[in-house]
Amino acid sequence: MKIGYFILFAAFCLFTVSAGAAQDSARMTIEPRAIDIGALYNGTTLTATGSVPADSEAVVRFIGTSCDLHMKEKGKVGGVMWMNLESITFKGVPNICLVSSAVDLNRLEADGGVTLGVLRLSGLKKSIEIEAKGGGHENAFEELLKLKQKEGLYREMFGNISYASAVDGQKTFSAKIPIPSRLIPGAYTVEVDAIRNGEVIARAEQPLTVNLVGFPALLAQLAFGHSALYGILATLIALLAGLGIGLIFQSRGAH
Amino acid sequence: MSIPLHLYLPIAGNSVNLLVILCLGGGVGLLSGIFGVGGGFLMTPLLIMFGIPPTVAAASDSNQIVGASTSGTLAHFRLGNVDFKMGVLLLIGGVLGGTVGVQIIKVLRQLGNADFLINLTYVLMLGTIGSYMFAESLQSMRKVKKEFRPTKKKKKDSAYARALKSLPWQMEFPRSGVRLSALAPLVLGTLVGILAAIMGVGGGFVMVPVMVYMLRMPMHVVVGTSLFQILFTCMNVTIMQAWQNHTVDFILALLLLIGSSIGAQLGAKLGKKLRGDQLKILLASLVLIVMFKMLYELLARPEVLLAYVGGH
Repeated sequence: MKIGYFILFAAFCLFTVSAGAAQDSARMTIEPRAIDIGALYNGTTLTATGSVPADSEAVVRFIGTSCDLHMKEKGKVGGVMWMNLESITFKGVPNICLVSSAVDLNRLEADGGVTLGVLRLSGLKKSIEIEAKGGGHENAFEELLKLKQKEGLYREMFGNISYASAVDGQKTFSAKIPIPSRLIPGAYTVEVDAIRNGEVIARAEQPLTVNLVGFPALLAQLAFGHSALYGILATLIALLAGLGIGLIFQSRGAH
Repeated sequence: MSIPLHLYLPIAGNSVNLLVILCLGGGVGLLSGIFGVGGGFLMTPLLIMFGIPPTVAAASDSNQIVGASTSGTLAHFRLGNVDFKMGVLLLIGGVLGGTVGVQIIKVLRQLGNADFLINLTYVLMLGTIGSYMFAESLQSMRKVKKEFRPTKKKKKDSAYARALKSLPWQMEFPRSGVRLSALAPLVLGTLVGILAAIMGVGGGFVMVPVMVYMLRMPMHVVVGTSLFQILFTCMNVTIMQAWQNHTVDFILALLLLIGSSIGAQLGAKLGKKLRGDQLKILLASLVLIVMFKMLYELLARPEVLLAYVGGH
């Protein structure tokens, strides 16, 4: 009898856990799966669709590969003039980070929890390492954020995710992410995080590649693969173009 | 409403509005044609403002100056305004000075605070040259207005003029209408080359006043000869930047070039309509505007307290 109760209890627990796991899951697909940069590329819109638990909020991030940035910190010299002074290196800086949500992230963060903070731009502070001589670099990360935001490469947006009605404890979402024109080829990641009470309860991600195609691809290949030839050709074409324009003006002036 | 024509620049890693870049090139080319300056000190900051990385902006600008100065030199050559003999001597000096200048800047960077010295040199140079040119051309314009009185007494030569005459290897420069020692353009070209390398620019706006005041060349010949010299300096910079740093965006340069070549042609024609002192006062004003802009940047708190390494 006892064994029977035990088996029943175990089966109930297993069902509860698996049902919970099914509900606290996220899935996502993206369109397009790759971005081709041709001669007329001027930014695009990435659509991410999927589902998150009905009582959660979706936060979608578009993140680029991390690299090291060697920069100069500006400071005052003699209390009067602003100059580039100390060298500073930021390690593990994503080249782009776009964070999208349906509602203001500040409002979501007010619900408490800690893991949501990691998804925000300010959360990059934990993953970016700063190397600089001496002290006085307390605001360096904030300045980096300011610079990247000014370049349009780091951005927090809200209102660009919409939801459909919930079915079986899951609600579907659709995010429209504006990808800037300032984009370089490489590997990128699109991820969705389901947030409940300020905590990440489920995550899904999709890789995305950005490629140069057509004329930009040819030009980049020449510039990086045969740089001396590229430099000579660039100079010669500029010379000939200058001469051509000069001659056009000469013939016009002759009439 | 934005103009819809955009083009992606693979080296700059950004797309640009075609018409904006063409107009930018045209505007700077116009100044280049009028004054014989490359325009790098204006174009590079403008390109950065439109989202081009500083290193790519500076290198691509050099590439477009090759075309613009070819077109400008051709226009001035037809007008008889290029002194090739003087230009070649200045160029040799400029190349020597540029090589020395690159070494000086290396030492300065190792000592630290090089950027401070560079910017201070900029402001002082621009301030001195601009003020002197402005005052001098204003004075000569007033003289022309008053009356033309032939001076009876021959002006006594200054110590500088006497020193110039005492130098060996005196030769005629018929196009400029001066007789000078070959050493003068060589040494002055070297000094400008050093300054240009330290300041990271082509040096046109330093070379023009040097030719006017120190080599005593007529303003119209100065403009054509300066463009001739800039052409070779920028050819060297373009090839080196493309080869060593991969920072030349040829498409950007070509767009700027189309605009600037047309601008340079118009500028050369416009410059011919202006008197020498009018040209001088306009260039002096331009130099002073750039100086005040740089001074403001030195004194005002920057929006972001970080800068990428490289560029002007």
